[in-house]
Amino acid sequence: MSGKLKESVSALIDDEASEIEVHRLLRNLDSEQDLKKTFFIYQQIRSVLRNPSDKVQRIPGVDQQMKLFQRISDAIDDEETFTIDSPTHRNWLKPVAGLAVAATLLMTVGIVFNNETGPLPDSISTNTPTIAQNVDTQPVEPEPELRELDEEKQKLLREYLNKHDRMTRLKGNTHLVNYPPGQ
Amino acid sequence: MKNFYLGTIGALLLSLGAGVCHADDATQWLDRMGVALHEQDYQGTFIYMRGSQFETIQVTHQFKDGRELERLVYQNGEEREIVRRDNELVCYHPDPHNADFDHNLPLGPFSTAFNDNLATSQDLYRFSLHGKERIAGRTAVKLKITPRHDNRFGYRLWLDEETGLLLQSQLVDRNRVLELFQFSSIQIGQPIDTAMLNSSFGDTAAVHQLSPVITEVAEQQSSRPVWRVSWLPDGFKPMYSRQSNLLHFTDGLATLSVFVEQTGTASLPDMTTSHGATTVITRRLKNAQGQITVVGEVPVNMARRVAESVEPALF
Repeated sequence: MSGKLKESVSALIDDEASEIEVHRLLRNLDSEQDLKKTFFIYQQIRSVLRNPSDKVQRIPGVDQQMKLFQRISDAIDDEETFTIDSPTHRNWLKPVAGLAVAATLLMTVGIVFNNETGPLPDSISTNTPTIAQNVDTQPVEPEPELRELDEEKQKLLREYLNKHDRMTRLKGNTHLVNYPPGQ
Repeated sequence: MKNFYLGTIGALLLSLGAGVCHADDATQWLDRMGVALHEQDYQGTFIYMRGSQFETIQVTHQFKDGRELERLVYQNGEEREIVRRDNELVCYHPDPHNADFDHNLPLGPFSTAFNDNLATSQDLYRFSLHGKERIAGRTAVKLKITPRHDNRFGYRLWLDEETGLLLQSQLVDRNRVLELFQFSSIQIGQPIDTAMLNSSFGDTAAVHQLSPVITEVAEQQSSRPVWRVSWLPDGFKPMYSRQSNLLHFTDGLATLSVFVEQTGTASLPDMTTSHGATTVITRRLKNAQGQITVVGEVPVNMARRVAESVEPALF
């Protein structure tokens, strides 16, 4: 599992994941067992951080959470699927619904335990900017979407980015015009 | 008791007044930054991080006789230098046989048009000052630009207290930093050696122009786009572009480019990706052969709506 995916999991748990990151996670969730484990470990760390230390922690272990996730996923798979006009909707709706239900249930479990052990400590914040994670020592990998493109298409995409950069950053290239976009 | 109420009301009015001054002060600092970006002489090294791209760049900037002269020396990866004379950009590579012209072009976080367009963005962003911090050994004033709506990103700027020059900036989505620009060392106002503004690679260097030459402007200035965007986020206005297949928009801070390629088949698959704060979306044209590519510093859902609204313009 790449550092990028780990970073996305962290962002998801902190409610800071972008739409692209959520899609990327969903795409990799089925194929990468480590990703699920990381998700549950991060979830567990977050729960531990948010629980006062003077009470016994009753957060389910990663294995238990994996089993619970699997049972929920199996149950969703067994559900009768409604017919949707667009086949592309069906492709992503199921894992989204599965993850949403599983996450909701896990969050509910977390909330139950949180309620048992008292309010959240003020001194711990998990909502810090994730800049430090971006500047890690791992080799830099291209975005997964870019990696799927062949060399020629990557070049084309970079050309668009560079053209946009030049348009944006050079005053002589741009000035406001008075015709509205509709004309 | 009456004095207490009067005092309270007075304090309230003063605090409201202070809030307004706060915003005014922030915009004055932005004005100073705009001038400093063009007119300050400085030499230093900055880092620029965007997505997985991390660059360390040495910069020398001079404003002389009304002209901006600048040289950027890339410290990582393939050796290359960019020399700027106002809006003309030229890239130099030391080895003409092994030069990779297909590289990214990180020029820094802000457009030189930043200050000119800022007035249009007051309704879309809140500007506020947040004390002082130390950046690259200098005292900096911290300024926040917060979007009033969820459909765009925010900025945090650190401006040199003495000159207003931008020393550090972060482009943020809520609390998450998407792009980072920061001077690690800088000297401001020192005399600049002219040799520092020319390429050091000599006559054998491979040279390529990065900006279109001026004559192209005259030829194409009257061209209007043959495509239009029927939906834009609030506050985005069209900007002049030299090419009829390129539409460019700004709200004063964020920018959006829409490229329309009418080739036989789409060159890229339909895709959505991001590079730091820059979203890229490609879509096949509706009812025509070709492809739309939307590139901009806006959230994905905004870029997607823009891409879906592209249609032929009828004059």
